[in-house]
Amino acid sequence: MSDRVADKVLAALAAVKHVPRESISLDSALADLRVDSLDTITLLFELEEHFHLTLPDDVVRSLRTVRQIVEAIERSLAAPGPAPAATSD
Amino acid sequence: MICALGSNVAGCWKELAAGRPGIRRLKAVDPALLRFSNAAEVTGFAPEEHFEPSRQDLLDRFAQFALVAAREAVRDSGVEFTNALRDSTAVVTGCCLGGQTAEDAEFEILYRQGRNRVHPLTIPRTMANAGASMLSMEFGLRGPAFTLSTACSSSSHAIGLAFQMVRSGAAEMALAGGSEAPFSYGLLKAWEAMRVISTDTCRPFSRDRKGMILGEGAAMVLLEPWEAAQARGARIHGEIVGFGMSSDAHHITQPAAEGAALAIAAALRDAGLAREAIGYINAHGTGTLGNDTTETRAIRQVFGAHADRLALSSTKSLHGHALGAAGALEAAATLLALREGVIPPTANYTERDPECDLDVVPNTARALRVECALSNSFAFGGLNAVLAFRAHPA
Repeated sequence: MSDRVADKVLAALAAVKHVPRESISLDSALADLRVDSLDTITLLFELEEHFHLTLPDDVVRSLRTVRQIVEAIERSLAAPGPAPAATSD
Repeated sequence: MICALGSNVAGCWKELAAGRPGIRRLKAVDPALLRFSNAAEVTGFAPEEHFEPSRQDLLDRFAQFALVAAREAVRDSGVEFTNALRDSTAVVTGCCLGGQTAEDAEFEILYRQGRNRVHPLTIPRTMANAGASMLSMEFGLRGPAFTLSTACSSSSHAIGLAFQMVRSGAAEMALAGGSEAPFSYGLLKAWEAMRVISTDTCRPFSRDRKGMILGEGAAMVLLEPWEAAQARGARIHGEIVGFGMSSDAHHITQPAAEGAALAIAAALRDAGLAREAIGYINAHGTGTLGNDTTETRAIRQVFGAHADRLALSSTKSLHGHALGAAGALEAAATLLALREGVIPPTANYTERDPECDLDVVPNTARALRVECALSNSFAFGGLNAVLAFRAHPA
């Protein structure tokens, strides 16, 4: 698993939930973090913009843990097709 | 009544009763720019056939729909407005978005084309009360007139408040309903970002449902006391007998069964109806994962064992989710179902969802004469409105 993707996901999730990043781990369940549907679409918006990708709605609906988000992004980045580098914000 | 199914009541009813969805490939915006490609748009609508060029300049598509539907309602009612009646006739419209198409077009000029001025009629075209104001002017109606905006419940609230005004005597008559025309690029991108739009079609209560399909249009009803309608020999389609409202006080987009149940119970109480009197419910039934299970739970909560004996269908599977016009289109569909003794189906249904285990009249309309029916509207923001109707004895 890439640290680059994991770091960004953890940072973005911490920002969306306004909690310290240390309080979130890759194995955290989104439900335990009280990530609701609006948090999810806000988080995915941030991550899709950052990594220049689009995750299908059915993939997004299946996400239950932080690790699953990281893996979904990595799968999308590894998929064939144009995959420009992430922005450096 | 105007929507993806037709441009008048007869045309819309024909499709509702046949269970033929008006969901097609999106035309107003290039689907290549979006994550979804289907919509329930009004097709073949030529504004110039309905409005003089000078009037057309003033009207966004949503206000055009409002006028077209209202003209049909007034014509059909056979009412002749005297000056006294005009002074005491209310106009209440529901609208979620206002003149979205006009706004988007003008802001595109500003932001993308880099010009520094927009059309001088942008404000009158985009204001959400343009529909109510245009209806008032069209028919010279000078009684209470306003527009309310409660997202997907807007026009159910509008019809409900108009009903209360007529019942209380605050207005002698009321022209009420709602209209919406949401197909602008900016707004479709906003819906796309919400991730609630289906990538194929709208399958309410079906296990494989993927979300809603946006629709557009308008429906208007003319309300007056039963005795007055009978006395003037009006063509009566049915009776509104109750109206219930509630708020979830829960979440800005996630529905709560308790709030929906409160509104349903309030409508029954207002109508003085036992729950066993209800034979049909026109569901809010958006086809989203959240709504359909929550609505099922709410219906079970209120109706208990009777929930398994009533028919439930979502006509959004046919005319799409017309947002601020949805409640009015569904009120019209409910009245027509009562009048014709035919329940329009929940179309596009493929697979039973154990969490949506009511009789959803899948795919095929059902000949069924019921005495009383409800129309549910449960908006984003948790604002609920439920109308109760009784069939006009034939």
